[in-house]
Amino acid sequence: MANFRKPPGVDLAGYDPKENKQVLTVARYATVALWGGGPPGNEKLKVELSDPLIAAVVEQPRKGDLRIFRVTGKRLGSAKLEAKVSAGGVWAAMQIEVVQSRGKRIVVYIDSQTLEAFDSGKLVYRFICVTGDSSHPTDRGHFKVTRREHPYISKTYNVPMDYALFFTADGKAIHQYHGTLPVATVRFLKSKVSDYLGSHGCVRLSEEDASALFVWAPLGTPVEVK
Amino acid sequence: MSLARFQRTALVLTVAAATVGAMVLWIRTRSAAPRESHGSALHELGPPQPQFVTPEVEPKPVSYGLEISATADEIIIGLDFNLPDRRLTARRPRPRGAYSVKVTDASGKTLERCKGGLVFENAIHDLAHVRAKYALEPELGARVFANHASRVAEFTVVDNTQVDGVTYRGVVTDGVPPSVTVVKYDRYFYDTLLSVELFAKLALGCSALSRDH
Repeated sequence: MANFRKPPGVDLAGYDPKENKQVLTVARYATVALWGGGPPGNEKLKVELSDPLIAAVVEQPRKGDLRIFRVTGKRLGSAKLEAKVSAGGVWAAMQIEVVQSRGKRIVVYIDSQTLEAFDSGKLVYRFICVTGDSSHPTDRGHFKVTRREHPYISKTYNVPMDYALFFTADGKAIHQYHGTLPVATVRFLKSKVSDYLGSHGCVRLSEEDASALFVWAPLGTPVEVK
Repeated sequence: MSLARFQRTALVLTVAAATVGAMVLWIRTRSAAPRESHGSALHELGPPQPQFVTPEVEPKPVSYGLEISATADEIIIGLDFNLPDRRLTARRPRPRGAYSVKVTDASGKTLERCKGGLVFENAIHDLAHVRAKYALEPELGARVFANHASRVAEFTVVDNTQVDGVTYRGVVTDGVPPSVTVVKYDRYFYDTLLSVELFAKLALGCSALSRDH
């Protein structure tokens, strides 16, 4: 399958060629192109987003054999930009992600128990983490870091939560795990043995990872939990 | 093996591993060399103040300039700043609103009231961003506070979330140049990049804080 790419001479900010992903913010646009000759009947390609609520796609004047598209962010979320042939198959695709800020951002993946940190769309950190158990799930959605504390001691649970990056009003944070077992072991046991080993909604990291993220992420850093 | 039996076995192994791990960690902690920390001027040393002395607590080292506390302006709704002889309380009904400031004496008698201006908003902003220079050993930090007991300020930035507020005690030390040393949770001591003038302004109350320039 072919891919959308960046045409020459356009701003590459937010473009991740490895993952073939374009990150943009609401009301801002990015330009992408269908590159190369394409399949026979290229003219009949229909380009659209899997979720039209996330962004708008408008075709621009062609440049040579390039078909140029302007993608404008409409609301937070992600969708696939697809070029479909008339028979219904997808000839080219690209991931479009609309975020609050195109600068630094943190994404927590509950299913894979991992955390990624991006700067202008480029992956900076990928850490394993442990999120909430089924009784105290980590909230999914878009948040941002509104408080940073190190060291920090939770009065509610009477436990240390060093390198805490708070992202919800009810106190959920990304922070260091202070248990005896390594985070990797807890993560494994949580997924294979008992969900009971999850947190009360916070995102736990190893000390080294929590420290690195704390230094890296300023107040206001968007946090997406999905 | 049934799933339940496997889970029980795994939990037993987990508990055993946790016990062994805790013992190893305890032994390593006990035998670890003291962590590096920075000193303070000798004239600041005095008798330790019992309320702060927690010999088992190790300082949490920080890199120079690390923000050990930060609260976004958009969630801040107040400040409590208490000196031994007066208390300043500022509140606003919602973030980004205007602050109402009240200063009382130690007995609670109101001394003055005013609206917080730009100077005051800047003061809260600065107190809501505590950057550390370095960590102090608890014994040393306790002595610094004991030697300046008459001017120790206790401050808490209040926000509109359910996250527990952190109360700091801070004091302007007599070093050259003077600096602000704070203690967090009565056990973690830091020399900070907080402004010495900031503490002086807050101590002056409305006369210094209600101006808009």
